[in-house]
Amino acid sequence: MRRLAPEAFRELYELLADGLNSFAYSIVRDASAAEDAVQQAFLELVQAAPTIRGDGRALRAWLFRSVRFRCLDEIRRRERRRETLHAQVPDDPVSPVPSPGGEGDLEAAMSQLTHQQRSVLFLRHVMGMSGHEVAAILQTNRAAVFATAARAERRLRALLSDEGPNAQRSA
Amino acid sequence: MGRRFTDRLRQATWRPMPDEAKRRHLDAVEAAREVKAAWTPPRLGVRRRLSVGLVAAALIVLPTGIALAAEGSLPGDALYPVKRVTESIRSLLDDDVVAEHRIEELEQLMASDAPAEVIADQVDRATREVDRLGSGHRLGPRLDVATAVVAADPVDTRPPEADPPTAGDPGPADPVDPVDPIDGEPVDKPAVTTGTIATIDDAPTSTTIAPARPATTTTVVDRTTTTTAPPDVSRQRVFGYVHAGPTCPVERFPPDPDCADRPVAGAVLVFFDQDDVEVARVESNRAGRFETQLPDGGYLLRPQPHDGLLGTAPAQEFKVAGEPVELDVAYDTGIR
Repeated sequence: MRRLAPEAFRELYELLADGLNSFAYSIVRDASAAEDAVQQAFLELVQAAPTIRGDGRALRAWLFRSVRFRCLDEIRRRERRRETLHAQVPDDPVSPVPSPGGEGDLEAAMSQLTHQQRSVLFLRHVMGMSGHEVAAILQTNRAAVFATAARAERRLRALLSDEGPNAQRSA
Repeated sequence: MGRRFTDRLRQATWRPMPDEAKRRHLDAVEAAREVKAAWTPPRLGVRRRLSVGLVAAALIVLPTGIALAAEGSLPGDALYPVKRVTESIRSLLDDDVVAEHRIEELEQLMASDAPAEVIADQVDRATREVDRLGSGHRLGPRLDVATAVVAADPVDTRPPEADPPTAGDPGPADPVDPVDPIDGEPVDKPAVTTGTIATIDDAPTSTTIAPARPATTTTVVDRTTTTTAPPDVSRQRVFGYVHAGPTCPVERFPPDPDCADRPVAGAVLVFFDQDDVEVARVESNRAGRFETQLPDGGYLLRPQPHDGLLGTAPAQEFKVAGEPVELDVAYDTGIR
């Protein structure tokens, strides 16, 4: 991948920006931090594009991996400042307000998972990636990806069954 | 997890990037691309990259190749200084590498019929390095063999068929008596009476005879001095072995081979005639051997004190009467 033309760069951004932003948000649970992570990943891509080998999937994996690193950096930074993610006030108007049986239940349950579990669920079920692709992004192996997904789904099912009358049906 | 769950998960987690953020990001990326374009160095072409690779390989391979090529060089060769440098580095790990190289060079020079002066210089160098390793080193016998061959094969000799010389004329050169290369024992051969002294030596040796006839031809091989003079049938070989003992505190019976007397190199032996006039002075070689030639008559041998040994070996009288004389000179080590 020698160099991306301006048009190709723009198309790539349009194609992946929403998914990357959602992925970043699933990790940091902060809209502003998620947007910054996506921007930094694309700025890094400007420098690193000539060194990336492979096809479009490799480029997509590279971007998701870069976003993940930046999100984890942000989490570590916050932990150093002794701030917890739970203390963050949602600043995104699309953040759901938990309501019994609604999507807010699911998102509230998602927030109870680890960021690794959220990443696996998002990449597998929302982005539709294979276990191999997810493993490449999370820098682990396929078995660990499937094990993490299974644990996350069990935990999510348990959380939803406790929270609302429609939870069992959703699991 | 069914399709419904997947749909719900997508709805719950999907967060489109706000348009304002998209514009900001694309502007930033475009600015970064412009900066990078201005800073990107021109990429090397295939030919230039190949050249850089070849130069890098040469910088790695060339010194190694030169060092290997220098291994077989001899004094005077262009690569010989390289060999000296590499061996000085190797000597940090291997004490005797330098001495071994000097002996190998001596052997190669001898095999290549190098000039006598070159071989003599090389013997000096080899002896110096072997001496530095101390007595009893494994390379000592190898050097003895090499120097014995040198001594037994003088380079500058006159044709043997030369007419019998008259007084004042140069006579045939007197090659040094051959010496057994293994134990340094002189090999028996018809006595050559030349009125000269021939010693086999690799230690600093000065051989003189007094009163000596004017030397007419001098051949220098190693530090062996062969002074050739008109033949004198009355001279006989006087040779022997200088040794020191005991070498162990306790003598055993039967004697322990490891406690045998050791040869004494560089022992100065002075010969006096019956008028108490010094007629010859020799030094023993590395194997403890010495040799000179004396006219018939009675003599007194006075070994001189030697560093590291107790006192001196006893003086001994002997007679030369038409036959070679073998002497045994025993020093005391002082070990009790």
